[in-house]
Amino acid sequence: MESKWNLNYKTIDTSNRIKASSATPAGFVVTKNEKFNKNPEQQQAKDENDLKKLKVKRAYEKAFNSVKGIFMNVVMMFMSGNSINQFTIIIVGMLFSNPIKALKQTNEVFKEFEEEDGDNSFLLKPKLTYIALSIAQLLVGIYKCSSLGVLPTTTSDWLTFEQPKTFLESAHGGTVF
Amino acid sequence: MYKNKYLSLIFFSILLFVNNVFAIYKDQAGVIDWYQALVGTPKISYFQKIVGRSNLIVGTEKNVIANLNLRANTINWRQVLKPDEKLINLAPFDNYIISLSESKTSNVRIWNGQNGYLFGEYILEQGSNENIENGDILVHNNYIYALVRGKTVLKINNLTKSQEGKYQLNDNYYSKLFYNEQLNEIVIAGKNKKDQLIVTIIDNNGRIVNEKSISSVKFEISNAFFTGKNLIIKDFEGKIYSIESNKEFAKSLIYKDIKELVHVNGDLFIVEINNNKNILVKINDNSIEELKSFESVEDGIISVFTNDKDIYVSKTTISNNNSSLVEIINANTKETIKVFEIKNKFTNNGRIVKVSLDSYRKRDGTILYRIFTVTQDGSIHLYKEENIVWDREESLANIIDLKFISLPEITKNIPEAIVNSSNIFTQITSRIQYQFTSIKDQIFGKNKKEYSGIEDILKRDVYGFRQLLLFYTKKGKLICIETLTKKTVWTRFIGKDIDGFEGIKLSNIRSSAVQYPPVVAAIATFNDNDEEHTAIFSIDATTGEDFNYTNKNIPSSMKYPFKLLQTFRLSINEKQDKIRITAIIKSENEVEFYPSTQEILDTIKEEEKPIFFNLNDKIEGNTIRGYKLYINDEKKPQIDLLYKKVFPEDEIIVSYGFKEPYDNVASLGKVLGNRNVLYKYLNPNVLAVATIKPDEIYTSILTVYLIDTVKGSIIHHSYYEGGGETTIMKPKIVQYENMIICTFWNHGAPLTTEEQDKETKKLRKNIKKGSQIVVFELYENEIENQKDTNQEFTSYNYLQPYIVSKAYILDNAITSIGVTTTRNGIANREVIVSLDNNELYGIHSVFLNARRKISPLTNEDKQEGLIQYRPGIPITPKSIISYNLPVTGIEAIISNPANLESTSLVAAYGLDIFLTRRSPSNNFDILSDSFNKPILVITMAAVIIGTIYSSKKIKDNDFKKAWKIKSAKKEEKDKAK
Repeated sequence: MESKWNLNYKTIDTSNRIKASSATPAGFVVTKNEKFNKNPEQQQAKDENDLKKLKVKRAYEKAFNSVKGIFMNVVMMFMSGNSINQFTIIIVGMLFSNPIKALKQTNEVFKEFEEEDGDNSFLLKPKLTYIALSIAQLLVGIYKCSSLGVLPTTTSDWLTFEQPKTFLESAHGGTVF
Repeated sequence: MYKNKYLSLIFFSILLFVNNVFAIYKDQAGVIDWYQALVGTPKISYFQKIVGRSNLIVGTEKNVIANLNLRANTINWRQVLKPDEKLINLAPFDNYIISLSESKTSNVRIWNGQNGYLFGEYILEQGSNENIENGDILVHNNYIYALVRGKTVLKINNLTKSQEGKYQLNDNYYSKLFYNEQLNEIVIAGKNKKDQLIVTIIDNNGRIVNEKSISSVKFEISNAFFTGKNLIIKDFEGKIYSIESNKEFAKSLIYKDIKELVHVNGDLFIVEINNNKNILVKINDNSIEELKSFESVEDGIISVFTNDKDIYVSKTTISNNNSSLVEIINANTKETIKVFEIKNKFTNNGRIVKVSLDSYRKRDGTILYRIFTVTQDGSIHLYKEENIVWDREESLANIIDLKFISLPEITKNIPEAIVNSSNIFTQITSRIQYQFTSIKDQIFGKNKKEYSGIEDILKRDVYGFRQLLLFYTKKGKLICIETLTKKTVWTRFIGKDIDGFEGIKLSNIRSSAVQYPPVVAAIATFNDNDEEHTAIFSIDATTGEDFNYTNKNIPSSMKYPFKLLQTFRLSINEKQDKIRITAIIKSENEVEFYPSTQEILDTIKEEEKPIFFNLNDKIEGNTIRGYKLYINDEKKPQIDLLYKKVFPEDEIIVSYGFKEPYDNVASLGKVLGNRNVLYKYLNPNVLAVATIKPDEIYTSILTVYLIDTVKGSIIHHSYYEGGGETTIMKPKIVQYENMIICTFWNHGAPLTTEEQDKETKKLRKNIKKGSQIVVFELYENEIENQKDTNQEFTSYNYLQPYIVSKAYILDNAITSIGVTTTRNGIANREVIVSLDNNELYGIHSVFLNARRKISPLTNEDKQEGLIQYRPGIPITPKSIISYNLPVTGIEAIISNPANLESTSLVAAYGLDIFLTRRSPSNNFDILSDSFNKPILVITMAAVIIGTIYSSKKIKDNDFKKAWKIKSAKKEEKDKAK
C-alpha cells in the first residue's frame, strides 16, 4: 500500500506554484534571477525545467537503488561456497529472479516521474542505467552458476548429445576348435 | 465430529495396508541369488557301510570325492581336489575312505567317511609325470598298500599312522594290486609296453619273491583278476586263462567264448556269453563250474555288492530304453532273490552306463536294495528298488557354454472383439470386460498363480530378472533353468546315441521379440565311421523343441561331413523367420552358411561389406590369423587371408580377451575433474592376447598385446617381468568398453645380489610375488577434448589410441574373471573374480582404474572421483558376492542385463553354479529397502486430509465474513466489552 508520506511527483501541480509565487511565505528568499526576471512565462518554463531536473535526479537515485542489492548478493555468493546444496540453489534462484523481476518492472518503477503530456524522453537515461545495473546483477548470477559448474560451457556438458561412431568393420571368430 | 471418526477409521485402515506392503517387500528382498553345488559325473561309485549305515561314495571326473545323501538330493560332504590334481582311485576301509590322487606328487589320503575330514595324508614326491593312471589301492587288515604310477608300492600302517615302506618295482607298467591270503604275499600285475602280462610278487616287507612276464595272452589289464590263489585273465578272443602264482605260464581253461568277465568274490565270477546271457560261475584250478544264470537275456550291466556275510550280484538290463529290469542273485545261496523294474527317462538321460548295488537290512529284518545309476548324459539317479529317490543333474559340471536368454515381452491375449469389430457397442463391452478381468488378475489372481506353471515362467517380469539360463554340456545335454526360481524349464539330450558327440558352442540366433520366441543354435562335432563331422541344431529356447523354419527347405538341424574350424553368427537375418545366419568355417578357404539358400548369399553380397574373421591358435599356440569373407562375382563365398601374425618363437599364447556379447556404452568419453573429456577409444575389434615366455632372470615374462583383429596390427604391447601362470591361476583377460583387465600370477623377482647397481635393485624390489591385475584404458587422444572427427570408424584409418595402465595386487589367486553388463551401460561396471578360496568377489570400478594417481591428489582428481594409487586392492567382506557359500571350481563368469538399468544378472559356472544380481552403482532406479514407505504414505495422507480440512474451514470463514456472522465465542467477548 502506498504510504501517505510518499511524495508523488506526478501530483505536483506546477501551475499552482506559479500562482503561489505572488505571495511568498515568510522567510522565502527570492533568487536574483527571480527578482530580475519577472517574466512569468519564462519563470514557468524555468520552474518546469527545474522540476524535470529534480525528477531525473530522483529517477537516477531509484535506478542506483539496485546497486546496493548487488553488493549484498556478492557477499552472499561468496559465503555460500561452490558446492551445490539447498543454500546455493536458493541464492542462485534469488540472483536470477530479482534482476529479472526488476527488468520486468522497469516502466512501473519510473511511472511516477512520467509527464502527463507524454514527453518522457528525459527518463531514457535513468531507465537505461537501471536496465544495465539489473543486467549486471544477472551477470553476477551467471558468474555464480559458472563457478558452481552448472553452465554448459565445457565439452563434457555436450558429451551426451554426441553421436557414437559407426564402425565399418567387425571381426568375428576367435580360436579354432 | 462423526465425520472425523470416519476419517480416522480410514486413516488407520490405510495404516494396516501400509504394513502389509512393507512385509511383502521385505520378503521379496533376500532371494536374489541361488547356488547349486555339484560333484560331477562319477567314475568310481560304491556303497560303503560307515558306522553300520549305507553311504554312497563317489569319485568323479571333476576330481571330487563325495558322500551323497541317500534320502534327499543333497551332498553329505564333498572334498574337491585342486585343479591340477587327478583322482585315480578310491577304496573303502572300515569307516574311512582312501583316495589316491596324482598331481606333481602322488597323494594317498584317508578321509573320515562320516564327515569327510582328512584323517591322514601320505605324499610321495615324483620327478616325472609318467603313468599317472596306473594306481591301485589294496587294504589288508590294518595296512594300506598303494601302487602309484605303476612303479612304487607304499605301505601304510593305519594303526601307527605311519608309512612303513616304499618299494620300487622293476617296471613301471603295473596297475593292479592283489593280496594272497594264504601266503601273505602281494601280487602286482600289469601290462607292459610289449603287451606282456607282468607279475611281481612281493612279501609283506617288500622283498620281491617272484617276478615273471607272460607274452602268450593278448588281454586288457582291466580283465585281470585274482581269486585269492590264481590270476584269472580274459583275453581279446573271450578265452579264460588261469595263472598259478608259482607257475610261469598261463593255462587256458576250457569254456565257451565269453564277452565279459566280472569278478564277484574269491573264485566266483559272472561271465557273459553270447546272446547276452550272464552266468554266475566258479573258476577252479582247472575247470569252470556254472552255478546260476540270470533269467533275462538282454544286454545288461552287472554290479556286485559284498558284505561280510552276503554277496549280491545284480544285472540291470539296458536294452529297453525307458525301463530296466534289475535282477538280484545271492551268490552264496545261488538264488534269484529279487526282480524289479526301474524307470529311466531315456529321452532326457540316454542309456544307463553304470550301476552300483546296495543292500541293507531294515529294522524288522527285511532286506532292501538300492540301485545307483549313471546315465549317458552324466546325470545320476538313485532308486530304492523300483522307486526313484532322487535325480541329480551332474551333467551341469561339464558345461561347454552357457547363455542367458531374455524372455519375450508379456503378450496379452487381447480379445478379437476389441481389435476388429465393427460394432462399437460390442467393442466397448468387451474392452470393459477385458480390463476388468485384467484388474481382477492383478489384484487377486497373481499371487496365487505365481510360479505355478511353465506358462507363467516363460513370461518376462517387469524388471527383467526372470530370464532363462541355457546350459550346454560337453556330452550334448541342454538344460534350461529359470533364473528367479531355479526351476528347470526343460532339458534335452541332443547328444544321445551319437558317437563321439562333443558340444562346442551355443549361439543366440534369434533374440526374443513379442511375436518371436528366442532361438539358439547348438553346434557340436561327432564321429561317423571314424570321421569327424559337425552338426548344428536350431532349438526353440523356450520349449527345447526343434525350431521349424517357415521356409520348408531349411532343416532344423544340419550335419556337415567335416570338422569345423570356427563358427560365428553374422549380422544378416534370414528374411522370413528373422534368424541370424551362422557361418561355419570348414577350412581356410571353405565356408558353409546355415541356413543356406541362394537368397542369403545374395543378401550377403548386397551388404557389400566383407566379413572379417579370425582363426587363432588354441592356448599354447603362437599364431593368429585374419581373413576376409565375401561373396565373389560368381556368387560363391570366398575367403582371403589378410594377415598372419606369429609371435616370437619362445612365446606361447596363454589367454585371449573375453568380451560380453552385450556391451552398450552410454558415454563416449571420460569426464575429468575439470569437466573436460577424454574420448574413449571404442574400437570393437581390439583383441587382447597374453603370451608367456620363459626367462633366465625372472621365471617367465608375460606380454600383453592389444591387436586390431581387422588389419592385424599391434596397437599396444607391454610386458611384465615375472608374469606367468600356476596350475591354479591361469592368465585371464576381460575386455569391456575401452577397458582391458588382465590377471596373472607373478612369480616375483629373484633375490638381489650385492653386485647389482641401485637402479636394478629398486626395480626388482617393485616386482612382488602374487596375483596381479593390470588395467588398461584406451583413449582416442591424450589431449583433453581432442576427438577424432570422423564419424565412421575404420581400422584402416590410422588412429593410435592413448593408453593408460596401472597394475594392482590382489591377495588371492584368481581363477576366472567377468564383468557386469547393464542395459544402457550407464551404471558402473563391476569386475567379478572367482578366487581360489571358493569365493566370488566384486571389485568396484574405483579400485580398478588406470587413471589413479601416484602423486597426491589434486582438487581436480578428487572431482573426478579418483583415489590415490595403492598397489593392493582391499578385500572387504561386503564385496564377497557369494557370502559364505563355497562356490567351487569356477571357470567362467558371464552376465546379462536386466530391464533395470542398475542391475545385471551374473552367472558363474565350472563345477558349481552360482547366479546372482549385481547393482554396482546401487539400486538408483528403484527405492531402497530402507526407504520408509509408511512415513511417505502417512505424510501424504496427512497433507491431503489437512488440505481438505483447511479448504473447508476457509470456505466457512469466508462465508461467515461475508454475512458478518460472528462465532459464539467472539460474540460473548464482544458482549463482555
